[in-house]
Amino acid sequence: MIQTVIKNLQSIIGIIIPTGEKFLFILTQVIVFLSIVSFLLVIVVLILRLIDFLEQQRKNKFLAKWEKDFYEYLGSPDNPGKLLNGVKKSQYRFLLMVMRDLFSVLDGKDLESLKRIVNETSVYNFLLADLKSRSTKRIIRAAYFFGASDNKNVKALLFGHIYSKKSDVFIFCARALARINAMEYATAILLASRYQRNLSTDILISILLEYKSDVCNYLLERIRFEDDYYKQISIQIFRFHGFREAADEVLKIFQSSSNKKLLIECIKYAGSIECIDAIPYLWEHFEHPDIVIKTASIEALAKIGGTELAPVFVQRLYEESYEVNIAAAEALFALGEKGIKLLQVVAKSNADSKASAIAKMVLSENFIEIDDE
Amino acid sequence: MNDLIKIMMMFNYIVLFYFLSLVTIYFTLNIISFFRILRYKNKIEFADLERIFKLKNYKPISVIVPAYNEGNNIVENVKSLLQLIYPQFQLVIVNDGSKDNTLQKLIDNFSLKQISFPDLYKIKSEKINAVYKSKEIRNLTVVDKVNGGKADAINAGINVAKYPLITVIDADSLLERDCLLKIAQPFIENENVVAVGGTIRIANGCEVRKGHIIKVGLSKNWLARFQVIEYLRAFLFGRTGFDALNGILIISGAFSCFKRDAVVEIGGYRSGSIGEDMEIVMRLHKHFRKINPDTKITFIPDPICWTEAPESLKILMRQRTRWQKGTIESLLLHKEMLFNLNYGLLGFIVIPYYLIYEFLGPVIEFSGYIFFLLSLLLGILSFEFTIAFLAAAMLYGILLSILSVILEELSFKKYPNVNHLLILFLTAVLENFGYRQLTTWWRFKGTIEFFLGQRSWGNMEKKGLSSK
Amino acid sequence: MSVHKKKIFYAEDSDSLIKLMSYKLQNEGYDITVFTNGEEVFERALKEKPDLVILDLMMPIKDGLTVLKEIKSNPETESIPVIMLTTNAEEENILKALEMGADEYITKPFSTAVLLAKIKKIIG
Repeated sequence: MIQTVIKNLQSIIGIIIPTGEKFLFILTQVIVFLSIVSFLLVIVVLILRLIDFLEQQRKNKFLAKWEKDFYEYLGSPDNPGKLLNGVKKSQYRFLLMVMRDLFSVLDGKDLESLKRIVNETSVYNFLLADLKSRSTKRIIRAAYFFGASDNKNVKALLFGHIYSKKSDVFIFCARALARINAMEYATAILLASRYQRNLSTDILISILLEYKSDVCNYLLERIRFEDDYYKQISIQIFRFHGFREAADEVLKIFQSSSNKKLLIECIKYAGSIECIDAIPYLWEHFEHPDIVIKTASIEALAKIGGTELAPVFVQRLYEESYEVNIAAAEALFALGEKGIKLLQVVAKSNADSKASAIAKMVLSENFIEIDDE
Repeated sequence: MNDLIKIMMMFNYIVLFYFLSLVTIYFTLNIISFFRILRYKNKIEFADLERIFKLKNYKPISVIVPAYNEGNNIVENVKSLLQLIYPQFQLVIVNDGSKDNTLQKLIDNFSLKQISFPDLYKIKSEKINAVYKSKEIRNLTVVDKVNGGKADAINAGINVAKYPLITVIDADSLLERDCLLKIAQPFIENENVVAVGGTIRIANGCEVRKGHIIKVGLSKNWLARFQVIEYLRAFLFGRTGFDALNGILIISGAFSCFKRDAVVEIGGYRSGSIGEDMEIVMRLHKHFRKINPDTKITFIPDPICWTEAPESLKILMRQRTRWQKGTIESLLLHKEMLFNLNYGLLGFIVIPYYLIYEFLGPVIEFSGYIFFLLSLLLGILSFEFTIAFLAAAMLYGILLSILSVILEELSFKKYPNVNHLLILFLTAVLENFGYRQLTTWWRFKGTIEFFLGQRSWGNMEKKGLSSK
Repeated sequence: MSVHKKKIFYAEDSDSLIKLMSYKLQNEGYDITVFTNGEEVFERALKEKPDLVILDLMMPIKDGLTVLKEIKSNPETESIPVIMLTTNAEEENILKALEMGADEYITKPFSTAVLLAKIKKIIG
């Protein structure tokens, strides 16, 4: 029985693997092949290193001369065109890398000078070719520089890329549009983001935050006509910019919506702009069965403040959920002296050990003694 | 007798197939990784992370550092961790019942004060004795707990951590200063990411000053050099390749980042497990991919964490047998993921790969050596054939190592001198004469020990959290 | 103009800024020494007594605040004016630096012209 199995198997393998002399011959061939390939690869690595070394040398040589002119030019009203005289296209990438490092640390006239290099010299055409190319690498680079230097001419080209299937291309081009403050494309970015698989709302918010704060007005005008996702994103942007003018609209959404994510954003917004008109609605959500909504309401109310809320927060210390307890204790702490006093009272009492433990925690985290004497 | 010969012949074929398939898989992974790494490099070059993370909607991170008997280095380690670049993070140092002065040193140096911390633990851990905070350095928290091993210490840290992302590192990990920016980026870009791992490199031979790598170098110790090649292979193309299949099965405990809620939902690390870093990743896959098929556990190829590799045979052996036991344990604990449609390519490619090459691999390889030797002695195989076969197998190994060096050269280029490259090539060759067999033997030994029930080695490791 | 060049220490971990600032400061006739981390700044300051120290807040090995503390708590160096460069405009860090005796602070991104003007105001 076993024997036949082995025999069968062997005959199957026999077909795949030749035996005896022939096999040895193939093996030697393989060995020779592998040795040659390995050897060639080693040579390849060394050549790569050599190329890199020469490139570094070219770079250093170029920069040693160019950087002096560049630094002299930075902050001056001179024409940037002179800087590019005699610079070969192949050397552009060296100077672009120098500029990349400086874009995020310089401001004022220096930054203006950097922008002028991108916008007014042959660097513009160089990057424009990048942006029109099909290579992700080149598009990303061009989008970065055009975004950083506020180039209004390339908006349409950037827009052309935001429906790209590659998420990197979308992210970089959308970000560039936002940095340029191309308001007319804000909605397009929001819509295009949905065609990106697995793109998070976080990155979308991060992109939209690149817009100047007047994007809030734009979003506010449109918010009524758009769906919940658009609303949710917009309200988040309002919150980060501290945009109070949207309060009425957000309160309307707050009253009418039942979408949990949207509700939470409304609550957070109301808290962060300290919207007094929102207090009654926040009250309603104080009793909401969902712990996240409840916690958010407490946090929002705490920000809006008013020491008359203190007893309500104290009540919440005795509730079942830890999240709610901690939010309430922190809310009390944020109220200042009166809240802290109440926390100290709760901390000293032993009626509910959990409430007192949480009060103790919040006090000690902030290095406040339980007995203030 | 004839049957024996046939069986041995069969086995030799199995070994042959094993090698050929392994090499093919590695090759495929290598090609996938190549494109992924280049893509990552292009992106990160202009990502402008430091500026973007200033745009308010970052996710704060709690960095959890389990420490056991780290009294000698802990203060310096904490000081260098405090210099990480990130808009908002807290450090949670967990003193896992050290027998030395770890806790006292922390208290004295950072003027810690005990705070009241109620028992609202979401996941189980050994008893927390006390929680301390520093009045001067507001983002430093120290947890003092009863000894319970690394997994348990991390769980305690998670209970105290307050931010939505948690990064777990070893107390002696040397981190690049922008590592948090880089590790947090996948979470921001993709909502479905629950865990991210980073690339680990070997710090031996590098110039280190106060917890910062000043200059990358190679150790003079051959054992450390072999590990450099091993790590390059494992991280540069092993994990990057599997990442393409959403099939990361292990995230190194030396540097990993999770969504806090996700870890809490699955009950934290498995206390007392031998390979806690692999086990938790498998459990995350198992739990979350059923709920949300798009769940991702990913990996960034950027070398962001450097770790000191053991330079003594004894410690290295202990590490490798433990890794092997951990792998087997995790695979057996989650065996129902094998060929399960819920997990896509993970269940059909990655787990079978781990079963065949990581779990059974050492057994096949080790018995392969023995059978070859026997076949040779019994005259079943000719001397020439054996030598030729071994030579081919070794050359394949060398080729793969060289490929990983090329990948490194094309991507991150961390080794500054040509000398380093030459040494790496030499290492790639020499590795096949002794070191490879030794690690196979250790893994074989780990497998045997696992099934003989000597799992208590995990307990011993509890006391050896510090790898030095 | 005096014959003696004013000596400035500049500690910063960004290479491109170091290059740019060295050029600009030398152009203005200052003698500049650069450091890529905070480690040796204080010891060298004790020895060489520069006229001004510019410190980046976020530096490896020893951060700007620690160096500032060292300089301002030693009687021999406490009179040396210090300008802090902060990456984040966070109030807390700026207040901390000023409290510890920093004479000026500048937040990144910054304009080199403004920094030069502040330097001129302090040491002439």
